[in-house]
Amino acid sequence: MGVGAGKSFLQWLDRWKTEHEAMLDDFKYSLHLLRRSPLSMVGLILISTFLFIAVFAPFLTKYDPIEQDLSNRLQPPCSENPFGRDQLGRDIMSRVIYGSRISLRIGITVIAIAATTGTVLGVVAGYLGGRIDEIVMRITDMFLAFPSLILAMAISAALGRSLENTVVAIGMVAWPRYARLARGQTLSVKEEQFIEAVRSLGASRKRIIFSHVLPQCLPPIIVQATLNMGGIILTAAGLGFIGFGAQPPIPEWGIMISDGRNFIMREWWVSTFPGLAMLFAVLGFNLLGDGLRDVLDPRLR
Amino acid sequence: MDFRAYVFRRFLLMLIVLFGVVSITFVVSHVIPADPIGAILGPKAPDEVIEKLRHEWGLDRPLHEQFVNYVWNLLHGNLGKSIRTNRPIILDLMERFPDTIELSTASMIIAVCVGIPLGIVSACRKDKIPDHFSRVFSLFGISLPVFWSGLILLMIFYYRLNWLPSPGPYSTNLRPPPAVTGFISIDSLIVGDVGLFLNHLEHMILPAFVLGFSSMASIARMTRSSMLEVLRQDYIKAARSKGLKERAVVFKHALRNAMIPTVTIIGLNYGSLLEGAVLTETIFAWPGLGTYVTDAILYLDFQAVMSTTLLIALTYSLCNLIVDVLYAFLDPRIKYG
Repeated sequence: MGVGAGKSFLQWLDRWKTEHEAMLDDFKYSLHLLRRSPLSMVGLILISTFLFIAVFAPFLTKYDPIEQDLSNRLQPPCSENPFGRDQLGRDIMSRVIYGSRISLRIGITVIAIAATTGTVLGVVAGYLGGRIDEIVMRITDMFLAFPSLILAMAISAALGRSLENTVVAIGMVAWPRYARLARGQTLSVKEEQFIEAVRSLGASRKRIIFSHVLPQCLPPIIVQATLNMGGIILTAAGLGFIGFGAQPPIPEWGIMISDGRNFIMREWWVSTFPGLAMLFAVLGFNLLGDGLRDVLDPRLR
Repeated sequence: MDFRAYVFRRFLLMLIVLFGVVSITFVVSHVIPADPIGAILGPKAPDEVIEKLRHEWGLDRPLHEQFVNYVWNLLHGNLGKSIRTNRPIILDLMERFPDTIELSTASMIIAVCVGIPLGIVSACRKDKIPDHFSRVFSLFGISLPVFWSGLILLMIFYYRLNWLPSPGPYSTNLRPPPAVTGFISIDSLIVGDVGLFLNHLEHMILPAFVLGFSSMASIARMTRSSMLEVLRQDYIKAARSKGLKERAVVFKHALRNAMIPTVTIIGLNYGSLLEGAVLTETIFAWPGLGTYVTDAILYLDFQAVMSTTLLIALTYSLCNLIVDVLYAFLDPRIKYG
């Protein structure tokens, strides 16, 4: 890239900054409020730790999460294996560490599928109104009336039990909330004057929906996604726990808790550590999501 | 639109939604590549036996015919026979449903009794220590995996401390009461067996607490935010400047209006408790719908799964309907429609 290109990029950035000054100020103010909320900061720290562990898993442990060592089965926590070993002699700490990758992968993929599908459907339905709105919202209602864990169980039983199908099953259950949220938001945004201004300038429907209405719907969607992340990790682990999710020997937290079920009375460490790891990861997302909601919801400021 | 028309419209909407639920379960269960007959008879069964059973269950007919047939039977209260228990599903469900309702109701009572006060304290002391404490507590509630907290609490309170009994609806040396209503608590009182009643309650403490914890969190959260909104309004300022004590302002003036959204959340949560029961029941050996549906899915018993799902969705939709109607009834500002 030449100097000219760099310069024109800077010019573009300057122009963008002036054009979006109000938005940026609002963003900075939100960030400022967020930084003052200790609970959100704790959440952020927990999430960062979780991400760090997931990314650098191979450097954090010398044990293979799948390799068995039957002569050391059910060994209690010691300095060599701080979380102990499970019923097949696998190092629990390294399984917990690698398990964070699985949960993170499920969480991110599900959110990406569900939030995108739901938001687009909701915004389009809300903006167009009429029969399309009615149809989309009735379908949303049907999915919402569904006991989602049971639907996810049935779907993964239908498709075959695996990690990939867990993602599909939870994704199919998760999108309706986003559709509803985005639709509600769209209904109020679409009445605003700036939308009318854009429309009178002759912008196409597609342009109005995707460049003007959609961005206005994002803040509550982001809050929902953050809070949802925790719920998805829990559901995925719940599926793993009852045997409908990822299959052994994958180091998935739900399976690990289920492994320790028969030993819980004596060999408590088998179930306890993966559960604690999950609790802190989920808590992180909930703390941050809760803080974000307070910051983005002006009624609670 | 008047009130009656609103209720009617809401009822029609519920029927449409339920029809959709039936369609979804039907499609999901018939896309299943695995063969339910094979699961029952095993891989060595002769072909003619398989054919005969397939014909008997109606599995050899075209999908749309099976669907019409299914809906027709549903409307007549005929849910079919379970492949696993070999009994009419409706009997299985009638046996299991009261246990789940009992457990969810107990959870809801715990959740309401702890959640609402927690929310009020949080709102009145916003951004102070009690607020932080109660928010962390309720966030913990929604972050806890029930299947894990259930196990840990069992280990502590049953195995280590021996304060609470083993999993199951009552101790194994006791006999169940004759089924009149199907609710063990009610039936045991009918025959005057107070010992069994108390034993049953004791067995319910842990699962009800574990199951209710997440609802407790969302009730506290909702009470907090609606209280905050109400406390900021002018009529509260007026009540304070009139010289009323803070107690009277909070409990007499604010709480009543702040309760409306909380009631909604309670209704919605009751529906999801039924679902949360799936995992809780598995851990606490509770003989309700949760254990039933898990077993049914494991045995590829589609009819039973579809029926249970429908029953849960029906209960959930009824809860929603009741909440919506109550809401319109409680808050005269709401326009029906």
